[in-house]
Amino acid sequence: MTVSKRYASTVFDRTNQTIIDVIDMSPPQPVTYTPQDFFAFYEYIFKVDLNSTDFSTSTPYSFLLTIVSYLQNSGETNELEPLGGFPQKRLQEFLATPIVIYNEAWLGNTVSDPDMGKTLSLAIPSYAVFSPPAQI
Amino acid sequence: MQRKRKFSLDVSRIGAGDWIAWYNVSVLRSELPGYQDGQEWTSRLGNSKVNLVRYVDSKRRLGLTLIRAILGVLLLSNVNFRATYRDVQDFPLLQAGLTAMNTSLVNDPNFQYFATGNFWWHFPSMMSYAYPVTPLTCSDLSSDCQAFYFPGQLSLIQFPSGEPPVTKADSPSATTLIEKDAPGYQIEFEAIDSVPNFDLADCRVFGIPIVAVQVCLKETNDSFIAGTLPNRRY
Repeated sequence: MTVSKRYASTVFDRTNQTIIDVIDMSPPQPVTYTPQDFFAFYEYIFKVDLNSTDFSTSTPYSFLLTIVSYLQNSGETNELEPLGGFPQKRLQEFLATPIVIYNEAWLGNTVSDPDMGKTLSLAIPSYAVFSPPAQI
Repeated sequence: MQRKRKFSLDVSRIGAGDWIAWYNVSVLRSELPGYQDGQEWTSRLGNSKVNLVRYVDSKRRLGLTLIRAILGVLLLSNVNFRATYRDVQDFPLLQAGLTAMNTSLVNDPNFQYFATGNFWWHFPSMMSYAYPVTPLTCSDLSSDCQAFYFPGQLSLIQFPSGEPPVTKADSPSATTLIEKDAPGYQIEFEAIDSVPNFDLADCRVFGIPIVAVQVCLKETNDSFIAGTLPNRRY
C-alpha cells in the first residue's frame, strides 16, 4: 500500500453527488505516515473495556465481532471473483478508512491550510476527440 | 416517332410488382401511356408494372453512404474521446478537499464518542468515496494493482459565511459540480505473492481474549506491507 497526496479537480454528478471523473491531477507528493499512526486509531476503535459490566453491548465490542467476521469469512475465490476480490476489497477498506475519515476536514473543522480547494464550479460535460501522437 | 430506349441492366431484371427507385425507370415515366402518379406500366418490358419508390429513399441512401464514409474514417483513425467540462458558474469556497490524517485526534476527549461508530459506518462503503485512477508506483501494472483517489465528499465543502447556497435555479443546464484543485489522497494497493518477514513489533492484536483481530503493518521504502489474519496482505 502506498499513500500520496495529490491535488485534483473532482467532478461530481449534480443529481446524486457521486464522483464521475477526476481531472487535472497534480504530481504525487509523498506522505509520511507510519504504522504507529494506524495502530493508534485501531487501538482506540477496538478498545473494549472488560471492566464494564455491559461491555457486551458496547459499540467497540459489537464492532470487533463484526469486523473479525467481515475480514475473515467468505469472499473466497469463486466464479464471480476469480481473484478473491472480496477479501482484498475488505482489507483495502480497512486500511483506507483511517486516512479518509480521521482528519480535520472530514470532522467538519475549518482548517488553516492555504492549499485547500477554493472554487466550486457548475459545469456542462462534453466530449473532445483527440488523436494521440504517432509513435515511431 | 418512338424513341429508341436504353434500359439499364437493373431495369431489365425487374419482375412483376417489384419495387425500384423511380430514377431507374425515368425513361418509362416520360414515355409510357397511361402513366399515373406513383405507378408505371412496363408491359413493353415484359413486366406487369413497376411501383415507384419515393425520392426520399435515394436521399436516405446518400445519407447512409456519407455516414458509412465518416464512420470509416473515425474507426480507421486512432482517435480517442476525452470528457471535457465547460464551466458556467463559479462559487467561492472557504475550503474543499481532505487534510492529512491527524493522530492527535485520539487525545480529544470527544473522539471516543464517535471514533468507533464513525469507522463502522464508513468502512464498508469506503471505496464508494474514491475514484479509480492510474497507479503510479506499482512495480508491475499487469499484476493485481489498483489505485484509488479519495478527494473527500462533496458534503465536506465549506462555504464562506454569508454566501447564498447553490440551488437548482443556478445554471440548471449544468449537470456536474467540479471541486477545483483541491487536495486528496491517492492510495495504491499491489498484491504480493509471498508472506514477508514480519517482526513482532510490526503486528498488533486488537480485541479481547474471546475475539480479536491481528493487524500487521510494515514500512518498506515509501510503502506499507499490510495484512490481517488470515491470509490477507498488501
